This record gives sequence, structure tokens and C-alpha cells, in this order.
Amino acid sequence: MLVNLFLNGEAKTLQVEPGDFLLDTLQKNNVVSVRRGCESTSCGVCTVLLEGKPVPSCSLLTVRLEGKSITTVEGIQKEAEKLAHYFGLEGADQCGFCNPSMALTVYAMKKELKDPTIETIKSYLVGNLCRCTGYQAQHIAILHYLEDQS
Amino acid sequence: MEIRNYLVPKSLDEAIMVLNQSPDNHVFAGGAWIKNTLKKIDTAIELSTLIDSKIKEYPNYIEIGAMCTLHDLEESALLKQYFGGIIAKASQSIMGITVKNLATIGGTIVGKYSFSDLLTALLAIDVTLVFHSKGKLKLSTFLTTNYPVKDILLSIIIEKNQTLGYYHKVSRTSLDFAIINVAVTNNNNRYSIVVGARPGTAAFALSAMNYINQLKNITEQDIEKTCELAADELSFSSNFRGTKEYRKSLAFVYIKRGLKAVINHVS
Amino acid sequence: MKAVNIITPSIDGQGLMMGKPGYTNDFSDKNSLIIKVLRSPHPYAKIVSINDSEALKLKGVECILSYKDFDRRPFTRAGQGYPEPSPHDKFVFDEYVRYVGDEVLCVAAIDEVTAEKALALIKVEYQILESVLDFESAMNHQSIIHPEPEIHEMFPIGFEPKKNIAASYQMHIGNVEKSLAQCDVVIKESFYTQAQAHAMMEPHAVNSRFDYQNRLVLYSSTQTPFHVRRIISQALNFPLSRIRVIKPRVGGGFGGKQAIHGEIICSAVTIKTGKPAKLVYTRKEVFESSYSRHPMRIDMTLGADLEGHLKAIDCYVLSDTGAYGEHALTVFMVTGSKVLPLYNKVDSVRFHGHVVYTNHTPAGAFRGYGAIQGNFALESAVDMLCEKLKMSPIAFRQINMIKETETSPIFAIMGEGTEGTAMNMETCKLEFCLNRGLELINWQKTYPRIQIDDHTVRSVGMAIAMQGSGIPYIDMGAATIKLNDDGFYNLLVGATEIGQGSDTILTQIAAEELMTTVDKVIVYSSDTDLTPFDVGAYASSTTFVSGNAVLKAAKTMKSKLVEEAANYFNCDIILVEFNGEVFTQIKTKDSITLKALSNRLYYNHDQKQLMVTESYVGHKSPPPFMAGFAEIDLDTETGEVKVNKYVSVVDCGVTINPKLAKGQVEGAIVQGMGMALYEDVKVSSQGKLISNDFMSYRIPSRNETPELITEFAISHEPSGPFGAKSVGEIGIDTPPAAITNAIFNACGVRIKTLPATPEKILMELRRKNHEN
Ligand SMILES: Cc1cc2nc3c(=O)[nH]c(=O)nc-3n(C[C@H](O)[C@H](O)[C@H](O)COP(=O)(O)OP(=O)(O)OC[C@H]3O[C@@H](n4cnc5c(N)ncnc54)[C@H](O)[C@@H]3O)c2cc1C
Ligand code: FES
Ligand code: FES
Repeated sequence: MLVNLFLNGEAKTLQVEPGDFLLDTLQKNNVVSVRRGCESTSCGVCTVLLEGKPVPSCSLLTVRLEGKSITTVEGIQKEAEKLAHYFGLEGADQCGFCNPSMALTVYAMKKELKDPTIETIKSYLVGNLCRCTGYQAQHIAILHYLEDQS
Repeated sequence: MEIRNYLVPKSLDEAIMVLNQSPDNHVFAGGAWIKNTLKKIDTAIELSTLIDSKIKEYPNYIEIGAMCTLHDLEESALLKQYFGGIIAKASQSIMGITVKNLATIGGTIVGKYSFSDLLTALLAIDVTLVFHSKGKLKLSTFLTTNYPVKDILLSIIIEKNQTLGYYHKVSRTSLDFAIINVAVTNNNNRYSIVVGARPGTAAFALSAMNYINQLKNITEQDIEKTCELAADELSFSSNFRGTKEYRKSLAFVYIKRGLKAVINHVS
Repeated sequence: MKAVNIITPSIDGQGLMMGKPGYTNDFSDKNSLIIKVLRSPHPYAKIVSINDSEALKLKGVECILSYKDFDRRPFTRAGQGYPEPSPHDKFVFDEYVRYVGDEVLCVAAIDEVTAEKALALIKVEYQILESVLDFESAMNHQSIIHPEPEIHEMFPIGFEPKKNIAASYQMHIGNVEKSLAQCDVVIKESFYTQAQAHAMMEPHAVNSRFDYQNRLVLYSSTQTPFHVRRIISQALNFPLSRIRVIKPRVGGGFGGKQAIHGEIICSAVTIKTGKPAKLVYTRKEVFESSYSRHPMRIDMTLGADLEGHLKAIDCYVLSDTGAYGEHALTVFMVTGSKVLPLYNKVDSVRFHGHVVYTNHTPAGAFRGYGAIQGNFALESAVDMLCEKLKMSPIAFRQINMIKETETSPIFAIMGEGTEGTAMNMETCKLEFCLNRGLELINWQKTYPRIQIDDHTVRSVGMAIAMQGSGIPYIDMGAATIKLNDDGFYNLLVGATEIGQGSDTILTQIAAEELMTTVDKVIVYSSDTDLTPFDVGAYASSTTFVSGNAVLKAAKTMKSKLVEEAANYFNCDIILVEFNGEVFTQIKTKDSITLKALSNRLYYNHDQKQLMVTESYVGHKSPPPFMAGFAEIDLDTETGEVKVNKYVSVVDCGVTINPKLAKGQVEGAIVQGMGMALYEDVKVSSQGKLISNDFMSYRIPSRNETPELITEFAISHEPSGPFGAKSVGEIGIDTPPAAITNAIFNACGVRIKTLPATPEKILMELRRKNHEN
């Protein structure tokens, strides 16, 4: 089947099987930044934005995305770079495997929530697992990123 | 996942027809749970183009489209105003944002999942379901009846009132499934007590409700007695998240806390 | 200092956040064969027959490999120095399968769907054997898990496969029985720890191909590329010189990628077919078919006099290595060697035990490496002893714990499966850590408990811990520094960046010594063709061992540079001053920049490449120390525990990168909390791991993370690079004991079996109230 969608603003026509999940479609199309951490919709590593909302690409059928817009971290490079700056200052990045998904979710949160506190950051990001950092440094870095209006 | 065909039906009638043509045909709402339970599907039927996902306010009731996501439920200012915010709270207690942006209230209800957190809250205020073929139906009826023909849920209707509500989920970590969940409501001194994930599907503690609902004044002892009745009448069992005994103890404690939270005056 | 002990962002964080390719799977060939492994549904069985004819007929199936395709050559998958202290008890594939998830055979096909289809078509007939699922009855069980004659130990490790014993050991100092008999107070308790899962976010992954020189090139998500190369060569009898292992970015390891995983199978497929291939574990395979922490029973006996002097420790450990013996002996020994020296003033110590085979998922290396298990037992037992003595657990530790300049005879006796190395604690700020932690957690105010409301009590609990910094006389790290034209450097290290930040801190060390900035030092790590040898990322060795190698290399480079400048000035080297950028002839005041000198070296005069390689092997392993404190709220009606705060005060010497060091501690604390409270391992009565995905095995999420307060003691280890010791593991050790001690202080319930679930706490509380 053919599916027409927008990937990071660019119109794409993709050849897929009805049972293909977006994560596999993206990887087949050389988008490596979207990664797999599980098979059970429970780690958050595969997050992409669907019409601006964070969703698990491992559980979303590509055929259902006709006309929809998908954002991966390639679509928000400036924001990712800025978030990385604050992660760097806090030592909040370790293995980095969770980080593109973190950038996307934080970006969506920034658009959606007004003045998030540590508590709201926690509950918005709670599904994004990270085994390395213990989370706290990420939260501090995210707060600094949100304060930066530049 | 293996899916033979993907269908975007033109009408609900078409959707229902195809849905009932084969046990391997399924409607897709969020698709989050289907992904984790089914390996082979004959026809996947798209619902999002046919069913509303909005939360709408009317003078006397609220209507929630069956495609409304759990994230929209948890964020809804309207739902936070009513029933002690238990619908928003229950939605909030489920997984993370990515799952909640996919998973829908419709998929949650039709699935009748025994672990469900949202069903517990919805049952406590016994919402009305609007199905395409069956028409209107109370959630309590739907949960306790087996339907041979598959139907499509369109929306959920909730009557506005001054109900006070309490909801609590106990789980090992905040992303985990419940060991138990409890909702207690007080609608003008009519109390509802619902316990889910026992691990059976959400159910009323009917004799406990009968007991407390016939009292004029409620004392501490009455509350204890109500909790005992509930813990005794509901069926609990063990799985790797918790034993029967532990679940029963938790139910007792959280029903008690729930009652204390929603009872205006304990004499 | 300019580059060390200051806040420096990791050198790679930005690229990774922006989604740049970096991980193993990002480098797989587009046309790789996809490998899927058929895994045993039985905990113990003999393969009677394999019928793969239908599968082989399937279009797109390239090969199916089983035990029939390999010579019987036992090896160990343990990523350790050679000869390994782990038994050689594994074959590529075997006629026997020894746990649910064990490898039966593999299929390589053109895509995943075909490979999966092929697996479903293969019929394997098994003869089911009696399995051993209770590790406490494994020893001398009638069912022998490793009856095969070829398996062996590399040197004596107490290997007795006929008794299901993978390793055993005993040592004693003084006469424990006699000391205990003289003690006023004695406690004897058994503690159980579970098979915690590493749960790194990147599943194990490997891919292979032959390059244009017909050499086998692997990308692998591994902590030990040089060990991987050696083991592949041994297992497949393939020349070492024709193997290249590249470790790209690794998405977390924690010990779980220290041992070989899919590398041998993947290599075998490429060797057999000549085609590129890849194997990426599913999350279920990561849980069921990689490794876990060794579950243990620890019998701890402590004796003290009435004044609270600890006199004797007797520690027996029974450890479950599962189906294979990777790291069996060494993890178990660390349970003693990096725990018991904490209390060095005893008259006598005994440490002994057995590591048994069972039909469980194999255990392997995991951050803490035995020390977390031992720490839980010892630090719980100490609090129990204090309870009996009616003594403050703080005062008790202040009297009995190890202090700076002191030593413990255990260091000399116990090493990495061999004898140890005597050493004095040149740095040990444990007293500071303890006292500072008391302040930060507000111990005086909360100890033992405060009632918050009718069902909530707040309490505090604590534990002290130590670890090591590499394995003396065994762990070797090497570093090469190369000068480039324009005056910047390449730093080539075998040390393995796996997310812990080693590339960054090694760059900092080089930059500091070369008096330059980190952007002038371009690091490349772990490629067996290009970088010098390093044992890999384990045993908390990277900062100390590899860091010392980098420091040595930088020193040598500096002197070479000065020599070249002296040539240029035509003077003696003592007349040359170098500030990192400019060389000055101190008499004539002539000068030349590094940039100009390097350009001259490469293009203009007496051209040559400046490149130096240095190695370091530790002669000691200075332990980092810490004190950990938990403040919890406990619900006495439900047993639920919420950790409000966790205070860590750590002595890891000078922190090369304070924020990354903090990240190591905090990440480890939360993993330790996972072991203490949440990470419940469930195995069915048929031996199947039930908790085999993130829905059933719950690692801590953000919501479980307490306020983390982490401080470092001022400390300077003379043997470490710029005063550093290690910090990778120490953080994980204290949470189990500190939290269960807090639980005891809250409600009088002593949890001796991890994890401390609310259900266990409530049931114990009920039992206790019932008794009273
Ligand atoms: C990893 C994970 C963890 C979860 N944890 C929890 C938890 O702890 N607590 C909890 O309460 N929930 C939990 N959920 C479940 C989640 O809340 C949803 O209930 C679930 O995903 C179903 O919603 P959906 O829209 O995705 O349904 P789908 O997966 O699309 O559908 C579920 C079923 O309902 C049918 N269906 C869907 N919509 C309709 C309709 N309108 N009419 C008729 N039939 C319909 C489908 O055909 C299917 O059979 C979890 C989900 C996941 C993926
Ligand atoms: S890969 Fe884990 S949630 Fe999608
Ligand atoms: S940094 Fe490794 S998983 Fe988050």
C-alpha cells in the first residue's frame, strides 16, 4: 500500500504493508534516530510527534497516517541542540539512547503546557524511561531549557 | 503484526458489517492495546474517521466521543470540575504521555480490561454508553453482559451533578498496572464503591453500598463495617502483582479512605 | 586546573540528542541477513532431533545453524582477562538446553518476517530432563546440569560440575568460631537478593560482514571489544588477526554487555554465508536470554562486645549462576572482598561459599558485582546487631569502620579469583561522608521515626559502602596520543565508552596534562584494529586504570613536544617552557606556537609523526567510599513506601568531571532503589521468567525518583590520575540496606528478602502486631 504523509514537513509517499508499524517504516527509510527499546509500548524510546503530540511509533500502524504529519528529532534540530546544551551542563546525558525521544517529548510539552514545574515535567515525561541518569539531572536541565526564551 | 487489509469505512454501518464478518476483523481506536494482544488480523477497520474524539458540555450532561484519548481526559478542565475529578485522575494514573495520546476511552470500555483504571472511575458514576446498534446502555449493564454481536461505541454520556469522588490506584511503580484500584463517590448521600484490578474487572461492592446507603448518620463504626462488607463480598485473587490477601487488605484501607474523603460528616 | 574537575559537557551528548547515528544498529549493512534464534521452551532438555527441512525450503532462508554445525569447543562468554576465572562450560550451540531461553539454533534470512516464519516451521523434539530451579537445593542434586566431559576450569576455582558447583572458595583470618564464642552479642541472619535485570535501554545488538580484505568486521554493543575478539576467535577457531571488533556508541551496559551475547552466532552466520548479518535482541531476549545479577543467599554472622566493638564476621554465600558460569567465582568473591573490609577492626573474619548451577537465565556481571548483595547483608546485619546492643547505628559505624591510612588483611588475601593485593587506604573520607550525610538528611530530627498522620510514619536509614578501582595486576588500559598538523591531538583509547562518560573524562585528562582545551583532543574509543588494548568497561576501572594510561601518554607526548621544540630552538630541553600553546626558549625569549611547530614537523623540516602509546596496570585498587541515607514515608496500613530523599556523600577522589560523576552516582542510586523496592523477578514453576518485559518488570520511573542530594568529599588519591578514584559502581551499593534499615526504623519490620515490596512489609507488620 502507499501512504502519503509529511515527515518533518516534507511530503513523502511510502510503500508499506498494512501491518507495518511506523518505527519499522522509519528505520527502513533510513531514519535511525527513532529507536526501539521494547516490543510492548512501554519504554518511550521510539517516540515521534504525530500532529505535534508524542506517540509511540512502535505501536502506530503506518497505514493509518495518510495525510498526517510526523516529526522526528531531525525536524527539531535547533531545539534538540538547545536542550542538549542544558543536558550537557547538568551531566544529564549518559548513554544517550533515550535522548532523541526526550527532546521530542520536551518540545511537545513546551508547546502544550504553560510554566511546567518539576512535578508537571515528571508526569508529562513519566513514560520516557531512562536507565542511566536517575532522572533528576534531566529535570533540572529541562527547567533551564524552558527558562531560555532565546 | 500481520494485517491482511486495512479499511477506512465510509459509514458506521459498513464498519459494523465488516467487523462482524470475521472474528479476525477488528476496529482500531488507539490501537495501543491491540498491538500488544493480537498477532494476526484479517481486516483492520479504521474508526478515527467516523467517531468523535471531543469532550462536549451540554446544560445537563457531558458527552465524550469514544475516540477521546486518555491524555485529553486527564487534561480536561471540565472533567476536573465534576465527580471530584476522578475521570481525570484515573486517566492520569495510566502509563505515560505517548500511550495516553493513543489510547482511547472507547477502546478502554469495549475491551473491558480487568486491569483497567479508568473503568473503575467510570463505573462509580455509572456512565451511559451510546452504541451504534444497541443504542444507550449503562456501563454497569455492559460490563456484566456478554454480547454475541460486536457493536461500535460512539460516545459516553455523563449526567452532571454534585457527586463527590475519590479515586486511588495502588501499583508498584507509577507506570505499572494496578494491584488494585478503588473509586468511591457520594451523589447526594448515595454512595458508590467500585474496586477494580482485583484482578477482576471493576465491580460495585453492592452489599456494602446497600448497607451504607440506608444509614441516616454515618459513624466511624459504620465506615469500618462498610469496608468489611465490601472486602468480603468482592472476589479477589492472586497473581504476580499481589496476593488475594493483600488485595483484600488494600481494598479495605482505600475504601475507608475514600469514604472518609467523600462523606460530608462523620458522626 | 583547566580541564579537569570543572564542569565540562560530555563531548558526545549533543550529537546523540540530535539523533545522529552512533549505535551498533545504525551501522548495520542495509542488506544484512536477519538472524533469529530459536530458544528453548524447557528449563532443561536434551535435543533429540531437529527437523528444519520445511524451513530450509522457505524462500529467503540462507542458513540454519545448530550444534551439528560446530566443533565441540568449550569456552566462556565472560568478558574477563585471560585466562578467565570463569569455567569454560559453553558451546556455540549444544545438544543440551539448560534454561528457558537457551539457544537451540539460529536462522538467517533475508528479512525478519522470513526468519520468523522459518522459526515457526522448525520442529525440535526434546527429551525433557529434571530441572533444578531452587538454587538452595542445587548442590549435589541428582540432576546434573553440566554432565559434558569437555568443560573445564582454566585454573583452580573450585569447579565441581558433577555437584552442580561452578565455583567455590573459602578464606579465613583468625578463628571465627572462637571469636564468636567470646562475643557478648551475636546475630546470625540470612538475606536473599534477586536476579535483577540490567534493563539498559538499548537491547543487545551486533552486526558483521567481511570487508574488502576478507576480514570479519563486527560492530557490537559491547563493553569489552578486545575480549569479544578473543572469544570469537577461540569459539569459532577463526584467526584473531582476521577479526575486527568496533564498539560504536553503546546504549547502556551496566555489566550486561560485559559478556559475549550474539557476537559468536552473528560471526558464524557471516563466516558460513559470506554475507553481512545482524542480530538484535528483542526486549524479551534481553530479559530471558542475556544475563542477570547473581541471586544470592547470604548467611551473615556478626559478633560484638557490649561496648559495640565488632569482633567477628562470618559470611557464607550461596550464589546462583544459572545455566552457565560467567563471572560465577568473581562476583561471589567481591561479595566478600569489597564489603567486609569496611569493618577492618575485627579479630577474625571468615568468608566462604559456593556458586551453583541452576536452570535459570545465566547470571553475569552487573554494576556492584556482588558488592551490592554483600552490602545489603552486612549493612542490614549491622543495624540488627545495633538493635540488639541498644546502640546507635551511627556510633557503631563510627567506632568500627575503616579509616584513612588503615588497611584490612582481606585486601591481600582476596583478589579476582586469585590472591589479592595488600594496600593501605591513602584516601578514605568515610568519616566525613557519614557526618555530612547525617546533616543533609537531618538525621537527628527524624531518627528513628516521626509520625506524620494516623497511618504515615517518616523515618531514616543508612548504610556505608566501598568498591574498587580496577583489578590490580590484571586490568590493563592503554592510550595512544597522536599529534596532528595545526597542533591538535587524537586520543585513541581501548577504554569503552558505554554512556558512563569515559570518552569525555579521558579527553579531559589528556587536555589537562597537555594544557589545552578538550576541543583540541579528539577521542576515538574501542576499535580492535585502531585503538590500543584495554580490558574494557568494568570493575570501575576506566577512570583509574585507563585514566592513568592517558595521563602517562599525555606526559610522554609533552616531553616529546618539548624535545622537538628544543631541536627547533637548538637548545637543551631544560631551556624550553611550554604552556600548552607556545614554546618559549627561556633564555633567548624565542618562541614558537604549537601550531607552527606541528606544521613544521609535518611539512617543512625533519618531518616526522609524533605519536606515543602508554599502558597502565594498577598495583592497587583504591576503593571509593560512600555513605548513603534514605528518608522514607511508610504507610502502616498498606506497607507502601515512598522514598522522599536520598543523600549520597561520596569519596571518589577528585572528580574529573563533577557533573558526570554526579550522574554516575545518581543513576546508580536509582538502580539500587529499583533493586531495593521495585524490581521483582518472577519465575514460573516451569522455570520460565515471567517478568520478561517492561510491563511486568518495573524499573523506577521519574515518579519513583526521590530528591537526590549528592555531594563529594574533598579527597585526593595519590595513585589516581589527578587524584581520581572510581565512581561507576559505588552508587549502587547502599540503597538496599539503607532503605530496608529505614523501613525497620519506621515500623520494626526487617526485610531480609529483596525487593522490599509493600505486601511483604504489610504482612510482616501484621505478623508482628499479632505476636504482640
Ligand atoms: C503498555 C500499556 C500499558 C497500559 N497500562 C494500563 C493501565 O495500567 N491501566 C489502564 O487502565 N489501562 C492501561 N492501558 C490500556 C489503555 O489505557 C487502553 O485502555 C487501551 O490501550 C485501549 O485503548 P485503545 O484506544 O488503544 O484501544 P484499541 O487497542 O484500539 O482497542 C482495544 C479493543 O477495543 C475495541 N474498540 C476500540 N474502540 C472501540 C469502539 N469505539 N467501539 C467498539 N470497539 C472498540 C478494539 O477493536 C479492540 O478490541 C495500557 C496500555 C498499554 C499499551
Ligand atoms: S519501543 Fe518501547 S515504547 Fe516503543
Ligand atoms: S541516558 Fe541512557 S537511557 Fe537515558
